[in-house]
Amino acid sequence: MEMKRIAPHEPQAALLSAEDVDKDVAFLSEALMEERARRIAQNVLLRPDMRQILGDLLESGACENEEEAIARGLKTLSVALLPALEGNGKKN
Amino acid sequence: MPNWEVDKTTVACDTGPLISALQCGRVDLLKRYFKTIYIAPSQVAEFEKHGAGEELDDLIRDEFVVLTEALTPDERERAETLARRIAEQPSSGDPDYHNHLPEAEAMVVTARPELGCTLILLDELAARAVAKEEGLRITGFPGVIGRAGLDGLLTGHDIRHLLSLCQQQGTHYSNQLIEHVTKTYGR
Repeated sequence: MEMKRIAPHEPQAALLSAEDVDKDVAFLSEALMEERARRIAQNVLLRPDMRQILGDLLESGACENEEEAIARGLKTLSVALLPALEGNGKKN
Repeated sequence: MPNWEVDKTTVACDTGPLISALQCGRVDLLKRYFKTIYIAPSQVAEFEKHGAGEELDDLIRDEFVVLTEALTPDERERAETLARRIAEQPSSGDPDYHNHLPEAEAMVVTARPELGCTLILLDELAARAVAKEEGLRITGFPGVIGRAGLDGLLTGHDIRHLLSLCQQQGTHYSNQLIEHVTKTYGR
């Protein structure tokens, strides 16, 4: 089927440079990453067991805030699993 | 084609990027990255002028493109100020601010907190300069193409073909720009 021809928008206007497009890709990627972060944070923090663990960690003074607790938890898990991951050739 | 999904975001859009997607028949790329595209009421006449009124109606019916409520008097005043600033830009090819009202209205819509727009899709340089001054994050149709290339959805050949299709229909993408996007983002 032949594609319908659609007139250009402001054909005489100055349009994008290569640098503009590189920034556009970066901004789009940043916005998509923010959406992903929102979804992950929401899914984790909506779990009562996770909220309980976070609350306990903050109350104990082991972590200053939720972000630090989550980041340290992931690092600890990574270190704990490193030998197994290396053994399976899955280390990145 | 990769089957993983990205977490889509919500944007407002000027006429140009949607026209480009329609020109090359790849609105699906916009649908991959965006949950909802908001457009300002004044843009409808622009789509009709470009011969894309029916296509816009289809996208509105699909609830992918959402026409926002009319601008408030304060927002109209704000849009007029922005349109004057666009017209005054050195890169503006049109000194009549009335002709820049659709881009200005798209910026006003982007700033409505209740819509949750994270970006404005805008391809025209003079309007982008003003949007940048306003602190808005901008992307455009070639930016979407670039990201699709990074995600493995488009080869270099695909990218060159799609941007060339827009160029052949009069959209002002330079050969240099097309080559850059092809070589940088094509897989």
